Amino acid sequence: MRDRERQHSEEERRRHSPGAPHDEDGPDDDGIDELRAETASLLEAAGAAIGNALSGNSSEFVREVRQTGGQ
Amino acid sequence: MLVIARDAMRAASADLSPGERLVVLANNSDGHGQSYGSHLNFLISRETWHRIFDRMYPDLFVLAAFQASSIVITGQGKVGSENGHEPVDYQLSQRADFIETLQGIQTTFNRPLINTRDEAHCGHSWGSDRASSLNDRYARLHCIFFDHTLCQGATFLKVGMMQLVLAMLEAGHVDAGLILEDPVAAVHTWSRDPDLAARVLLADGRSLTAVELQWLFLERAKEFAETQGFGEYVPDSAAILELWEDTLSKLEAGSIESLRSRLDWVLKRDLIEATLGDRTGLDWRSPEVKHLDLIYSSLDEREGLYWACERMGLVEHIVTHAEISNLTRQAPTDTRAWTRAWLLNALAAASVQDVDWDHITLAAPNASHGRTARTFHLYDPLGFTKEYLDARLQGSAPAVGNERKSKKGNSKPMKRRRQT
Repeated sequence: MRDRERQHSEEERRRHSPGAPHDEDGPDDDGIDELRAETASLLEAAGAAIGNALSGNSSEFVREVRQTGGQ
Repeated sequence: MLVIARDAMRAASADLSPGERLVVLANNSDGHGQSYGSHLNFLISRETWHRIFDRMYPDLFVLAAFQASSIVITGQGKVGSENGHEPVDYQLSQRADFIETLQGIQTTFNRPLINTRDEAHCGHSWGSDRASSLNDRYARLHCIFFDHTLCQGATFLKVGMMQLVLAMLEAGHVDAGLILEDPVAAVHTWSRDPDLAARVLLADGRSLTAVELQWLFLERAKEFAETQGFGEYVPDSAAILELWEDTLSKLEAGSIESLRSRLDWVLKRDLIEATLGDRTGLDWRSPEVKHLDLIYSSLDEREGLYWACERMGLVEHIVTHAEISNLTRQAPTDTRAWTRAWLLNALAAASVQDVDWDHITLAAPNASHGRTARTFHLYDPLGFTKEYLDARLQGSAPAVGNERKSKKGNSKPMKRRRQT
């Protein structure tokens, strides 16, 4: 839930940052809004899994996940 | 298969000690220079085998060019590089860094783009007349090149496109103009080009991107569909062609993000880029980013990024969950896997000594006959289907199986299936 809230506030920040298109600017001709929405949907979908992964020790995980041999 | 592997993972996890955790990743590289395959096996005719591996030109080189350029569709995506290659942020293919030569029998070192292992799995060629005859007729193309794919669309295309290309090779519909100057170098170049702009040389001097070369293969396949037809030899050929064309159209148009629901390398890249945009202090070389690369394919639904996207409806479905679930319990009806599974279920009380593609060996329940084991031969890869077994159980089919007679002079490709 925290991830989702952070994502929403990040979206708000981006929406009101200098140079960002505003709602009153009319239709989104360059697809930026759509791209943002899609990015937000990705983070909404995988945010919890990403958050869980990054809350641990990634260096240790990357070091420990090791295959010997294989084809 | 992933569902079966996940069930096995859960069962094995139950035996772990407190604090231990089993991590199962459906990828092809551990990030430490070790690679492991996601092999595909295709039943081809012995005649086509000889053309690919004995005559070699042009079939071997056309197949290599197809596979090399196909990574724009079949790659899972990978953070970083391995095996002595130059550093890179992100590449299309898990396997590319480990492809070092055009062809060869080896699978664990100096890996070839096209593997030459000749095991038809129809019994030993030096064995019975029956096995010898089947080995003369059939061969197995053991394909070690491709990445593991989780997206259903990518998996459907990975298998389906290979079926189409092999059917064309079977029929002698081969365009030598599609041969690459250096297919192994092309794999490395194209894998490190997520923008899909890199051009490589063809043997005829042209310079093409991977997407452009894939378009040429698709056009040849569409010509073949119109003139000869894939017919029963490639199930769902029309659907494969349609999805292949739609995918290439989107790649060509630059609307790559629209393919994140279909292609793993796009979905994984976009997940990581979204994270990089959302969190400060991370870049492509951060262990956290490699961590995300690895757990993208984790079979643990709580951990795997792919499954999270699937739950939210962000990936395309070719088959339903119900169909997948059904196939984890029931073998396909039209391959010898049906009879193999039936035997294993029916004879569960017996001690199974050995199970392989073409035989099952059981300990003899009654040793008084002087036999210590009994072997069921399943030599014919197109036999022992549900239809055969049902007839056999009703006493209306011969015990040797229902092998199909090959028609001499038939110019159509042989019936193609993934071997099971």
